[in-house]
Amino acid sequence: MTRDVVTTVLQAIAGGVLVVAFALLGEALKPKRFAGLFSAAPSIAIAGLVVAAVAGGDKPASRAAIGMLFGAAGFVGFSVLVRPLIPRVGAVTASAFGCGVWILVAVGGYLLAFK
Amino acid sequence: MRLFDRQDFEPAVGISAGDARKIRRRDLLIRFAFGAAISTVASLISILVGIRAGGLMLAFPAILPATLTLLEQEESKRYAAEDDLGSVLGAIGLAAFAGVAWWLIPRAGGAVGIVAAGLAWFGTATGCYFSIRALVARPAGSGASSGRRGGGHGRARRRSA
Repeated sequence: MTRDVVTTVLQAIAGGVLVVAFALLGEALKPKRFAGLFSAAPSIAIAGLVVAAVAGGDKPASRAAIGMLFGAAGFVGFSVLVRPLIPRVGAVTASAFGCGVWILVAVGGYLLAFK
Repeated sequence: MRLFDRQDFEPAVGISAGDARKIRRRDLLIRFAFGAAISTVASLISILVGIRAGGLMLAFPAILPATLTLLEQEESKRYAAEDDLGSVLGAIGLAAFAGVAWWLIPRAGGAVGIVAAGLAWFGTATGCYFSIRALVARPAGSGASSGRRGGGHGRARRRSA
C-alpha cells in the first residue's frame, strides 16, 4: 500500500515536470508546426515507464508499453480529428470530441485485443 | 482544411530561448497539473486494473487540449490548428516509442529501452516532419515557394519578437 502511494506520487511529480520541460522546449522551437511535435512528446510515458521499471522491473515496463501502443493509436485519431474541428467549433469543443475518439480507438482497440 | 497546406509549411526550423521565457507561470502550472493528474490516473489504473491497462494512459493527450486552448485564447484558432498538425506527427512518433519500448526493454533492460524509445520518438516525429515538408515543397520549387511563405515568416517573426 505504502509502495503504491509512493510510486503514484513519484509518477505524478515526474509526469508534471516532464510535461513542463517539453512545453518549454516546444515554446522555444519554431515554426509552430514543428513545435507542435512536442505537444505529443512522450513526457508522461517516460515518467510512467521509468517508475514502472524502477518499482517493478523490466517486465511491467514492457507490459505498460503494450497498452501504450493502443493509446498512441488513439492519440493519432485525436490529432487528426481535432485539426479540422478547431476553426469550426474552437479548441475546447474540438478537444472534447478528440477525447471521445481517443477513448473509442485506444480503449476500444485494447478491449478488442485483450478481452 | 487540408491536412498539409503548402503555403503554411514554413521552411526554417530554429530555437529561441527567449520565447520559452515568455510562457506565463500560470500556464506552466496548468501544464504541470495536467501532467501530474494524468500520471496519477495512469498509476491508479495500473494498480487497480493492471499495468498493461495503465499503459493506455501513458499515451493520453494530456497537455494537448490545454495547449490548444491556451494557443486559441492567446493567438488564434489557426495558430492552434497548426500546433495540432505537428502533434499528428508527434503521435506517430509516440507509437514508435511504445513499439521500441515494448520490444527492447525485456531484451536490453529498462534504461537502454527507454532511452532508445525516446530516440525512436524523436527520429520518427522529426523524420515524418522533414519528409512531408520535402514532399509538399517539391511542386513549389520553381520559384513561387519563397513568395508564398511570407505569411509563415511573419508568424515566426511574431513568435521571436
